[in-house]
Amino acid sequence: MLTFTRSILLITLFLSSVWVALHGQNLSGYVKDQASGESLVGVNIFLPGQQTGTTTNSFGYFQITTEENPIHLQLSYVGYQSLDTIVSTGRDAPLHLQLQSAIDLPEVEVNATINTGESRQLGRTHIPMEQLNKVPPLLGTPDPFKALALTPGISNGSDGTADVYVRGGTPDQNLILYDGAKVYNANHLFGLLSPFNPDIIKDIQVYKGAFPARYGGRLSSVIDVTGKEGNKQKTLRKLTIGLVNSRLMLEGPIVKNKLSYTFGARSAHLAALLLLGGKGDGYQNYYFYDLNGKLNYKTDKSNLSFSAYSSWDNWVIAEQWTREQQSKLKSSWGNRTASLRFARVAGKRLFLQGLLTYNRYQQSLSEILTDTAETASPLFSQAFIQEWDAKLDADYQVSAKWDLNFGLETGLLRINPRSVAVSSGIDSTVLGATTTDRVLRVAPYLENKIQLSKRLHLTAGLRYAHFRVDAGDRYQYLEPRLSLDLDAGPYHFKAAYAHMHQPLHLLSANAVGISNNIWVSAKQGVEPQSVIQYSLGAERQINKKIFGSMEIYYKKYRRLVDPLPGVDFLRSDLDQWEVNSGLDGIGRAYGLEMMLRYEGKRLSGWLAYTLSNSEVRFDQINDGDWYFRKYDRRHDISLTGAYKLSNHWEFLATFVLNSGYRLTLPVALYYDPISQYPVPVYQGRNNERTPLYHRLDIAFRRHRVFPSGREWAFNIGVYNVYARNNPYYVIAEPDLEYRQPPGYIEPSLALGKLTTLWSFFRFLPFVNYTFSF
Amino acid sequence: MKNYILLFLLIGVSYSCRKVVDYEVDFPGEQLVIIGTVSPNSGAKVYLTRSIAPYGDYQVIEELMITDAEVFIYGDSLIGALEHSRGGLYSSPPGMPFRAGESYYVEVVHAELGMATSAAVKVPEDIQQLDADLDFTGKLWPSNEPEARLSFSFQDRPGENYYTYLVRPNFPGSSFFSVFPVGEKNFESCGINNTYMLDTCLDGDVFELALHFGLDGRARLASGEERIYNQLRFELASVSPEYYQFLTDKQSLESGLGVADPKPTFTNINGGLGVFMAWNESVRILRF
Repeated sequence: MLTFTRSILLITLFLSSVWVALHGQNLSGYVKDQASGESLVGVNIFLPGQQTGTTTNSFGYFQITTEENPIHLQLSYVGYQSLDTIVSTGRDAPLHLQLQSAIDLPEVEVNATINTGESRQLGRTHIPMEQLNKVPPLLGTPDPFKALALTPGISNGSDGTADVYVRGGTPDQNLILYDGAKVYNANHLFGLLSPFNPDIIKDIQVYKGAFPARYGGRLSSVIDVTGKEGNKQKTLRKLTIGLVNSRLMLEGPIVKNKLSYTFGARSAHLAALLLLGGKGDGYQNYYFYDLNGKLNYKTDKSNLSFSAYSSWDNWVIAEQWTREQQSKLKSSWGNRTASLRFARVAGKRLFLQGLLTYNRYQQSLSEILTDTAETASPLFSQAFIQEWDAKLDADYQVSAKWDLNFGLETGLLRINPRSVAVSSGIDSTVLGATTTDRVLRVAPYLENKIQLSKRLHLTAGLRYAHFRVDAGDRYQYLEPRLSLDLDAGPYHFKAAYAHMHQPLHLLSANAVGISNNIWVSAKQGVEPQSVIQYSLGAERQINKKIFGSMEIYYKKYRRLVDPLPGVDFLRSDLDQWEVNSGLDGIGRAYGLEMMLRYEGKRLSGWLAYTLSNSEVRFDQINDGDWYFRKYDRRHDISLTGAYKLSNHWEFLATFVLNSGYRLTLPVALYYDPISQYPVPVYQGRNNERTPLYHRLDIAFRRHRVFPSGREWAFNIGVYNVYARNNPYYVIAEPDLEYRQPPGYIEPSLALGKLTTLWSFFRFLPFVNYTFSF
Repeated sequence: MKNYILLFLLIGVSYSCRKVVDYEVDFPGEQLVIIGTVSPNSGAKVYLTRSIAPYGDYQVIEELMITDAEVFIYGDSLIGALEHSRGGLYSSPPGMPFRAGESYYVEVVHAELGMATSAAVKVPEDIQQLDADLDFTGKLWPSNEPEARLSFSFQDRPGENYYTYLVRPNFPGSSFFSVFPVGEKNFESCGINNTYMLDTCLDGDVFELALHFGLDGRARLASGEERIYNQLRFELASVSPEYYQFLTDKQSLESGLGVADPKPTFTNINGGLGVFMAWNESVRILRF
C-alpha cells in the first residue's frame, strides 16, 4: 500500500514539473440564469473543436486555456436551453454567459446529452433544483435527499429514519455540507423531510467515488449543498402553504447586480393541527422549523457571501397520570451553521477561495414532571458536535491541458457523545457524563487534472490528513486520489481510486432510528476509520433521448467500530465506549450500479438499479465471522418519471423496490422451567432480512411562471399509494400464553414467537399551494 | 373544516401500523435443552425440554417436556442416574450426596435427540451470617397493597461471588415475587439486578440490602383460587458463575430488545442448549 501511495505522490510531483512550460490563451467567465442573475453551478461547457470541456464551480465560474481563437463553446444544463456560442479569447475581464430556463417553454427539448466534465467525474451525481421537480414532492415539498435515494448506489434507511447509505457505507460516513458548513443527522419529521428548504437551494453535488482531493474526513460520500445567492434583478417573495408544513422564501437585490439576499423559513403546523384533537390523557406533539439567510456581494472579479442556517425538531410525548400529575418526554435535535466565503479571480489563470465555517449539532432528551405544586426535570441528556473550520483553495490553470487545484483545510472538532443529569428533589447528580473530546484537523491537498491525449484525461490528487486527538496523540495519513477517463467513441470509460480517513465513529442503536445515533471521535487507542475504494464505469449516449451508465466498485474498510452484542448505548455509560465496542473491524463492500435516463418532449425520467453487498468482521463479534451490515441492500430499483400533460400540468410518479434491511432474529426458542420464561436462541448477527420494501408515490403538479418572474404551483398527490406495510421497526419477542390447541379441553401454556413489524407513513396524501407575490 | 383536517391528518401522518409477521428463519432443528441445578440442600434437578422453531404455531409447553431420557450425574466419576419425577423434571434420589466445593456435570441420552453433556460446575460455599427481617413502610405500593420492606444482610466471601434472592409465599406451588426495587440508590453499577447480583460493591464485607414490594397476604393460584398466607419464604443462594451469566444474558435480551444487538444466551451444554448450574441456598421464613 505504501508503495502505491508513493507512486501516486511521485506521479503528482512529476506531472507538476513537466507541464509547467505549457501555455495557451485563457478564457474565464461566469454562467448565470438569464432572469435572476443567479450563478449556475455545474454547467457543462464543451469545446467541440478540442473535444474537451469543463464545468462551472460553486460560484458559476469557469476557466479554459486554449490555442483556438475565436473559440466555439457549447453550454448545457438540466432544465435550461442549451447555448451554442463563439467567443474570442485573450480578454482581460471574465466573460458573462446567460442561460434561459426551459420552464414554461413547452416546445423546448432539453437535451439529455452528457458530454463534458460531468462525465469525467466517476461516482458523481449532480442535482440541480430543476431536476427535483421531476420527482413527486413529498408532502408537497421537493426533497433533495429523497431524490438522491432514487439514484444508483444511494439508499435511504427504513421509513422513519433520515439516514443516507452510500455504496454500503454507514450514515456517519457522508459529509453533508451546506454552503461549506457541516450538517449532521440531516432530517425533519423522523426523516420524512430533509432539513433544507428546497426554495433556497441552488444546487447539490454528490460524490460517492473518485473524491476530489479538496474533500476529506468522510469515507462514503460528499453531499455538497449550495444555497441561492438571491435574485440580483428584482425582489421575489414565494409562499407555500401545505397541510403539514409551510414555507416562505424571499430574495432580491439590495444593490442591483451587486448585493443580494435570500431568506427562507419553514415550519410545521402539524403540532397545532394535532392539538386540535384535544390533549386528553396523553398526547404526542411534533414541530420543526428551519431558517436560512444569505447575503451575497459580487463584483466582476470577486464574491463575498455570508450564509446562516438553523434547524430544530421537537417531539413531545405527554402522559396524564392523574388529574394533577403529568409527565412529558421531550426529544429535540437540530443544526446551526454559519459560513463566510470569499472568492476572487486573481489574474487570468488563478481563482482563489477562502472559507470560514462554524457548525453545531445538538440533540437532547428531557423528562419533565409537573403537578399542581411544582415542576421538576428528573432527567436531562444532551449531546453535541461543534466545529470551526477554515479553508483556502486555489484553482490554477497551468495550460490548456492541465488544471491544478490546491489548498489547505484546518478545523477544530469538539464532541460530547452524551451527558446525563438526573435530579431527585433538591439533589442533582450527573450520571454517565462524558468529557468533551477534541480533534484538531489539518489537511493540505493538491490535485492535477490533465488531458493526456485527445481522448484520455487523468486526475491525480494527494491529501495529507493530520488528526490530533486529546491526550496529544496524532494520526496522520496520505490519501491518494486517482481517476482516469477515456473517451472511446460513443462510450466513456472511467476508473478511479481513492483513499479516505474519518475521525468520527457512529455508535448506532441498531433498531431505533429516531435521532438516537451516538457520535464519538477517534481517541487514544481508537484510530480514525479508513476506506480504499476502487471503481470502474462506462457510459453511453444511446441516442438523443437516452443516456445509460454503469459503474462497479469495491471498497475495503479498516478500523471500523460496532457495538458489542447486548450493549445498549442509549442507556449505558459512554465514558469508555470503546470497552463496549468491537474495534479494529474490517469491512468490504462491492456492487454494480446502472442507470438509464430518458429525456423526451413530454416524458422524462430514469431507471436506476443497484446490486450491492456490504459485510464487516470484528474479532469480538459474531465469533469473528463476517456478517452483513444492517443496510446491506442486495437489490435496489427505482423508476422515476414525469409526464407533461399540458403546458402547465404534469404527472409525476416514483416506484421503488428494494431488498429489506438486515436484522438479527432468533433461530430457535426454548422454555426455561425454572424462571418460567421463554429463551430465544441467537446465532449470528444480522442473519435475516425484513420483507421487501416497495412503494409508489404519485403527484399532479400545476406550475406557471409569468413573464414578470412571478409563479404559482399546486401539488396534490399521495405517498405510498397502495398503503404498503414497509418495515420501519421489527421486533421479535418470544411469547408465552395460554392457548387451547385442537384436542385440548382447557387452555395450556404454550410457547411461540411474536414478530411485530411496525410501519410508518402508509398512504400519506398531501396537497399544497405555492405562489409568489 | 377542523374535523376534515383532522381526518386527513389521521389517515395520513398518523397512519402508522403494527403487523405481526412470521419469519421462516433457518431453524437448525430440534435440540435437547437442559436446565439443571445441583445443590447440597436440594440435590440435583434437571428439566429436559426440546427447542422449537421460532415460527409457525404455538406449541404447548407440556408437549415440549422430555420424559423418556436417561440422565446421569457425575462428580469425579459417575454418581448415579436421576429419576424422572414429573413433567420433564429429573431429580436425584434421596441420599445422593452433593457437597460445597465439589464439581458436577450431567449427561443426557435420548433416543431421538441424541446425547448432550454439560460442563462441570462447582458448588459454591455456604452463605455465612445470613439475617433477614420483614416490616412495613406505612406507604402504599402502586398495586394499592401495603408496601413491605425485606432487609437482609450476610457476610460475602473473598473473591468474585454471585447471588440470587427469591421471595414467595410460604406454601407449595406459590409464585415468586419478581419485582424488587432495591431502594433509591443506583445499584446497576454494582451488578445488582432484580433477583440476582454479583459482589462488586460488597467484596468480602457484610452487606445489607432492602427489597420493597406490595404485600397483602393474599395469593391467587393458577387455578384461580385465592389463598390467605402469613409467611414469606426468603431464599438467598450463592450461585455458580454459569448461573449468573445465564441470568444476565436473559436480562440483557429482555431489556435490550429492539435497542441493542442481541447477545446469544450463555450455554454450557455440549450437544444441546440450556445451562447446568450449581447453587447453595439458605432459607429464612418470615412471619408478618
